Amino acid sequence: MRVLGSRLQSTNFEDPDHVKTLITRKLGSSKSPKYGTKNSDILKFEQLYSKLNQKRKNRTTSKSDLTSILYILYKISNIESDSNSSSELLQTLLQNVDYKEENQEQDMEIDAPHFKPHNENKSGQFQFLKSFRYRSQDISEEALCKDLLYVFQGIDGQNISFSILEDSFVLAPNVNVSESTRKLVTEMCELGWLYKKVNDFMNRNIDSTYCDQVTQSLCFAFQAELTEFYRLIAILENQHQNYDETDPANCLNLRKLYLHIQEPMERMKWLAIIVDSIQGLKGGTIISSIHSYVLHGSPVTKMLLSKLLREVSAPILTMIKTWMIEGELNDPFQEFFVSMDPNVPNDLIWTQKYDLKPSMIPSFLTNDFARKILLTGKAVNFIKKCCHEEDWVLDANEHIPFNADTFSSDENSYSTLQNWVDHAYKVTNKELIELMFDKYQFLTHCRALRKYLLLGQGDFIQNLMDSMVNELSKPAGQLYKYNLLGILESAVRSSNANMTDSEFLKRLDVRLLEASPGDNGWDIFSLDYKIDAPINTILTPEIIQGYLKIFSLLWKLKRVEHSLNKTWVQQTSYKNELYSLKEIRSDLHRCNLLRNEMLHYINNLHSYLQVEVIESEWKKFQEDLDHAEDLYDIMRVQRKFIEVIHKRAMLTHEHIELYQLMIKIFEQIHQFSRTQDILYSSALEEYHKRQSMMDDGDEYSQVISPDASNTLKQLGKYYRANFDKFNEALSILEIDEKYLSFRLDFNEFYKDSRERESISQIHHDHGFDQLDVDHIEDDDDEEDEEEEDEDDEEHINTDVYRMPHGKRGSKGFRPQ
Amino acid sequence: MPREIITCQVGQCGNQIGMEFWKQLCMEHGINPEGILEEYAQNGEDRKDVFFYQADDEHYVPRAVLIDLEPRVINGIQKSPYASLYNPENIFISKHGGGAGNNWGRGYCDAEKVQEEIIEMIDREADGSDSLEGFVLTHSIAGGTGSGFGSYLLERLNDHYPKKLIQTYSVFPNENDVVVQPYNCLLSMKRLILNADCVVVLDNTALTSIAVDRLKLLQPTFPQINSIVSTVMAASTTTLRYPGYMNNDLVGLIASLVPTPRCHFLMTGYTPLSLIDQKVTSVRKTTVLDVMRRLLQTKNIMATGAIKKGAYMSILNIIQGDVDPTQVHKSLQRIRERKLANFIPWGPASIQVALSKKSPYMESGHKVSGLMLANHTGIRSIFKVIYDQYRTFRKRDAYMNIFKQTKIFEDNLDEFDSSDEVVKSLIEDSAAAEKMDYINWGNDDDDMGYDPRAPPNFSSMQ
Repeated sequence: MRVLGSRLQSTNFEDPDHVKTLITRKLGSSKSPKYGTKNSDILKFEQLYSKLNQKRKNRTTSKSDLTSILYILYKISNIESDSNSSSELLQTLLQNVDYKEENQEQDMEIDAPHFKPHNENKSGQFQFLKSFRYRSQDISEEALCKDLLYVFQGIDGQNISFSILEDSFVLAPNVNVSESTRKLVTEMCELGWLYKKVNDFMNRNIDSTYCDQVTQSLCFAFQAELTEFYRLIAILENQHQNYDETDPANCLNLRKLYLHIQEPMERMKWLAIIVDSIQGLKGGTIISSIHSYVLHGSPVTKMLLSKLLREVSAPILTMIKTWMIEGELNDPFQEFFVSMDPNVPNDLIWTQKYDLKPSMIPSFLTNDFARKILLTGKAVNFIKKCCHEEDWVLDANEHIPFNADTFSSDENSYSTLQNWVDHAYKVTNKELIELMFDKYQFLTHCRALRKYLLLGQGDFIQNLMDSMVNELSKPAGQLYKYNLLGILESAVRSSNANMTDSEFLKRLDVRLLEASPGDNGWDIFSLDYKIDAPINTILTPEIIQGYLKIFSLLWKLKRVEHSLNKTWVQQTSYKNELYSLKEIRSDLHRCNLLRNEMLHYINNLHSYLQVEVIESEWKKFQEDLDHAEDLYDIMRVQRKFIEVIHKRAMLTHEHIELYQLMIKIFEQIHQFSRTQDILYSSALEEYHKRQSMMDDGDEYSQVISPDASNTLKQLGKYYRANFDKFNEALSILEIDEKYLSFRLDFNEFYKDSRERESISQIHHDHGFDQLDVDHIEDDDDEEDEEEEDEDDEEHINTDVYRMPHGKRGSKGFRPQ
Repeated sequence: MPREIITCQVGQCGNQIGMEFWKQLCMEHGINPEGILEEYAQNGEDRKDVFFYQADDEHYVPRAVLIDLEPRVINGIQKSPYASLYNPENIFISKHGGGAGNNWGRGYCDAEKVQEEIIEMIDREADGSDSLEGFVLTHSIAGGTGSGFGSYLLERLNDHYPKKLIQTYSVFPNENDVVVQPYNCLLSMKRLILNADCVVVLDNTALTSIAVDRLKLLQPTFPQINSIVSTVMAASTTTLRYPGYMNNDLVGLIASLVPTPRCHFLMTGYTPLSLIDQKVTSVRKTTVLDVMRRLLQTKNIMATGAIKKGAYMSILNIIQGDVDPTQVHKSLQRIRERKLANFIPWGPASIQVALSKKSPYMESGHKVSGLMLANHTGIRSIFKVIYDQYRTFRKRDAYMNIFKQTKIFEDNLDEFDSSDEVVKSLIEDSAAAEKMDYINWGNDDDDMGYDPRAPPNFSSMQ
């Protein structure tokens, strides 16, 4: 406000009436489209003015105050003169002033008593001033000029001295000068006040050890400005000393002085504004603060501010340069917008060591730009410290020279900076990406992960599965890592895995998870892939964990497939022997079909996961990698790869129900394999018995393992129930998982069978009973505990079993 | 443990197919005719040890046993550039060299006579592998050696290696290749049903018409047709030889294709076809959808008229080449929308798609190529033709005298009857698999099917 005030006093408008006329004219000539309101504005203003004038007459407002208020209004209207809303703004201000005046009026009344003691405190000085007035009377213009020249340098003159009380230089009241001269002097005194402010700021900071670099360069810039200013003063002083009454045209008088200092005063004012506005700020924030004034309309001001900005930006630009080229942070005062945590070890350089301080980003840099700068320096550090390429130097200067000292905020040098940063960013990150891909073979690691943890290397996984089966069937407690490592090694040796570079193979490891009671080897076994620096910045432990999660599902799936293939071999190997056992032919047939159905599920699930999910995502992953510009991109792409696979492979939390059903189905398949084992071994036993008996001409013994047969039926039923649940849950999910449900029911068998079920159920109930709605509903949500339903089913099946020619057809094989 | 596969090529056709197959494999793996790995193939990501092993001098040697009762074809191989590829110890040519005279009985009985020598060969091969997965037999079922000797071999292999898989590539004849072929085929069919785990049916009629129609050959030669066969064989083993994420072993490949143990006859389709020696004349745009759609077209399926009726039990498409995985789903969607494939009603069935690498050493005008292995109930029409022909012959007792000359039919023709029964039951099985109540199969039909306990089988033969 003080600064604002200083501008007000620098004007010649002393007469309130004059200003009033100006404003009225202004309002009249306003370009506002709302012509209708123009006259009412003037009217309103007239009213306000008279109100203010009234106040003056009431001695609640001084004449100069009134002038000031009017002048503010006028100035504001000038600033906004281009804007259409000027008159509106003016109007609002008028109202505000109106309001304020009214308040002030009240305040004045209320505060009146308080003013008195305050005034009494001042009485001492008044006394002094009084005596002063009594001693001197007249004063020459020359003396005033001389005083003013002192004042301009912040020094008290003979008649003008700094009043702490009023925080300004004051011409002693006893000096007898005309009112207009006094005003002129007071106005010029403002320069002294401004100088003092700027100089104080400089003195405070220039030698301080706590002063940050930006402030320091600001001080130097000020100093340069002041030097100019001193020169002017020197000239003026010279002119003043050569005062020659004979040549009045050449001598310095107040008017001349006033003219001379207009320009320096304007500059000084801006310096003072800056001093005010950067209070408590440092580094980048100072630059931002100065930058906010740069778009000033006046070319002179703009030039001044641009120059200041240039000076002030220099240290930050130097920092940017050092940071981007050498990766060094030379920032003792924390003025830079990149900060470093010295406690973070080097292997976390990329992820944690450096960060952006948004407040410190100079406002002429966009956030994206700042991010690029951060990334480049980070990349430099990463290259040097993590990739052991200490000698690597960015030779960006060769292409686009960049000099921190010549920078200014104009378009040209900004775009130069931008080009330079872009270039440095590109070169550095390209180098880093190349290092990652070439020296550290990131993609080969990914391929290895794809091959081993995502089971891409089929023959290896098969070998591993074949040779792990026995070991992993043991209880978890009896598992020894070195045994498994031995198996792993031989699986690698005897498969095409051995064509992978040993550099990658040696990373392949076995991980045994925490075992809970009752776990066997399958529950706790996992492959693992060891990653070290610097690749672990991308393939973080979390990412590897993500891979392991996928591995776990695929490995389970592979195990189920393995076990189903075994049951198939069993079925095909003994097809001739067991064909002769007619009583169990339907059971065996059931085994075949159930196995077929299960294998269909497993194969399609497997194919969905491998082709639809992993292979497609892998393809995208590789494409995305091609577009990666910096390490962050790579990390993002890598994370996305894992996340999308998790989502599509039903491994995320939202798909937990599907996942659990899947695991349940797997478990049922294992159970089925075990049941078939029992059935087959008892059937084979029976077969051999009959073979020998046949030679003796004996009759057959009786039914074979009804237990296994029943279990089989139940299994088939539970399996179908779970499958239906899975399929149902799957169909609820949108978009992606349709892939899987589409595959699982490619020939729409399940869909048709659901339809048949409901139709035949109705037929069935009609045929035997009355339509029993409850029963149908029971059947619909067929639960494991559905005793009644099971009995029914079992009853029919055993009927068929015992009486081959019996009731078939009564259940009615369903109309197709 | 590479899950090795030993190939037995029996008879004239079997050896011709086999020779083409090994030629193809060598080219795909960058192995030259002498078994030496080419310079450019040193760092391949392929797996050669499923089908080859390395001799002491690093030569690649096929895990193959070459058997014939007459020397012509094998002599031809031994005079070809590939002569030194094979292990000479694994070549068996009958001493009498007179062949089997298109007589299943002679082939079968000759095999029985030399079984020890043959089994020793096979045992030696088997011992040389870490974890033998199974055997592949290439033969034709029309003549004498491939069918008779092949049949005997199937029985012995099944007996000797009960847990190993046996897959055959069996060429089914044109209608009138050999006079007595209905007999030969029927007798072979029994072994293919009982003793093989998976039979890839190569229908000669269809192969010929594909050669004429698709390859624009006016009079396709045997080598040309065999080259189609070798393409199919090579493609069907590609997931074993270029390990990816799925179907990396034989069981993984065929288990999902064979829902019930006896319905294990697969038909094949391949597109786009071109001969190894033939310059690619027109380069078509091949996309996954193109390939998958064409594979379902009758004209590309190597089984005559088989898919006109009936339903698919399973389909595996092995797609090779540069494939955008997202295209697979779209193709499947299109196929279902257009109902291009009819599936069985009694259980879930779908088109499995295995994406596989392509040999980097072989030029191909096509970006994508595909093989279909399918289990379709309509395949029984081929069996039905054989069976009906047999019945007609049998009724008239036609040409029976030449069979009666062989030991196995000396006393009776029971072997014919049992084969008749087995083939008939397979045809019935296959028909049953088209119907909804297939899930209840086996519940009531006491007299359906053949009881292998009943004589004669090989054990009673001895």
